[in-house]
Amino acid sequence: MSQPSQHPDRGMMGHTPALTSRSDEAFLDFVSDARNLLMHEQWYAVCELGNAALKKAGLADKEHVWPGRVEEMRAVLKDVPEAAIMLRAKRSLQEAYWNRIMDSYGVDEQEWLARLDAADKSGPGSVSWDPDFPVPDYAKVEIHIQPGGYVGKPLGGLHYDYGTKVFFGGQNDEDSLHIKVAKQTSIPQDGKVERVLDIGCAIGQLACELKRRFPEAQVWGIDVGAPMVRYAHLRAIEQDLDVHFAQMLCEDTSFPDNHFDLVTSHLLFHELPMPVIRATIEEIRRVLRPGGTFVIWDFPTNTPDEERFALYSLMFDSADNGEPYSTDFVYSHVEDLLKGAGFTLRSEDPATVQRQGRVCDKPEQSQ
Amino acid sequence: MTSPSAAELEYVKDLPGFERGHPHYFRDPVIDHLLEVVLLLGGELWVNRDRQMIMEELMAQEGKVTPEMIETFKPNAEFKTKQAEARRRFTERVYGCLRYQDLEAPETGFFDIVAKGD
Repeated sequence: MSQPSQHPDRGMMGHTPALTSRSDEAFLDFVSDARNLLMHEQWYAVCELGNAALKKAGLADKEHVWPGRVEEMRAVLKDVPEAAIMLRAKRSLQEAYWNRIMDSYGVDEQEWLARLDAADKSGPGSVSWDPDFPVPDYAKVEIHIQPGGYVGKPLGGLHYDYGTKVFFGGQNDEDSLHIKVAKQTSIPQDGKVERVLDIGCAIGQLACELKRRFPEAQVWGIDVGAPMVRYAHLRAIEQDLDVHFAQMLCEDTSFPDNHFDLVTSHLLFHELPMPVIRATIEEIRRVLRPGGTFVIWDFPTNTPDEERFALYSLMFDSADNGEPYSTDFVYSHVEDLLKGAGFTLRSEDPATVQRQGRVCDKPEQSQ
Repeated sequence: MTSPSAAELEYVKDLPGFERGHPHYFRDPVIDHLLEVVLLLGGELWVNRDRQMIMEELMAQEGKVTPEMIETFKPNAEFKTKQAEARRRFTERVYGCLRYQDLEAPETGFFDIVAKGD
């Protein structure tokens, strides 16, 4: 992806287009370091302090807190300066990086829109989307407080690309996290992988890495956001990868029954309301062939309540970081839902689940 | 599978976080604003420091510097390391007083485990 011409060509940073000025890049490097210092490095220590204050106030278990008493939690934590500093830094730095990214790429907005239009009609691979697609309200949330979320701004995919680079604090440069996830993704027991689907694919990083791992397979990525799948397709073209992207709901796809050998979901489930999670599990069971495998990479859920609440700040992630469904997900027992839908889980051990994802097989004898 | 009905999902609109909101974390929201200003100023100060380092490097290597040379500067590994270390020291020096303490986090975070996996 070469840069348009209003400023010097700043090239690429891996598969991510460089920002339009060195100043923007330096600012975001600072944001990344400040997040490490004021959030990540003190996360557990501050959580201990906050949790003690919440316990004293009788607000230390999810059942009595979420969703109705979050404001009471907030009030208690205002008397814990360490928590207030961490939460303020987190929110301010998050807003700062989105604003800077949008301002920087915004210099070339018209050029980027033209490139997306051109890519829509180009290959390898394909993209399908509909300007009148009925996006459900639940999907209009500004996830990670990205302005416009995944559906509301035409350049949302581009913003997401650099935004998640900052979010991961260097852990996903050059898509390195997705490369590892693709490599670690389990496959059907019979080894047959001819059709692959990644649901909630965002900008297609995992779909592309799965294509590299299974070059002979037909690989699809679907997402509710047109800005996501359009940019995913452009990004795949730049890597000369034949991947198909489509704007679709994960709970209501248009694929035939028993179609895919492997379906993956990376960090999608905690962004879905529980009724949609249940529908998605049913839908994936429908589109997987008997013996096919569904791998869900996401936060652990099958852990003791106390252990989960110790990270109460995740609840503030829900409330203040545009992740309103993640608390219900973390406190759910998604393994039970999967088994109830007829999947067989290879492991339910939380440690294994974190390393390998939830690996779910559709039994051979099922339809 | 039928998608959940709109009525089944009506509850999501009442969840904390469904709307973006403008949370504050201190009893006096002015402190929130001031901390934000201080963080943003640090970023802008680092932008100048970063630019200065690049200019010095270009002058030492090329004997001249232009705005375009700064914008298209591609640091080598040594410069990258030197700059990252300078940035880390700068951030630590200015904002270290806001950090409560360092505790080694248990290796239970989802991203930690996946990122460190082979």
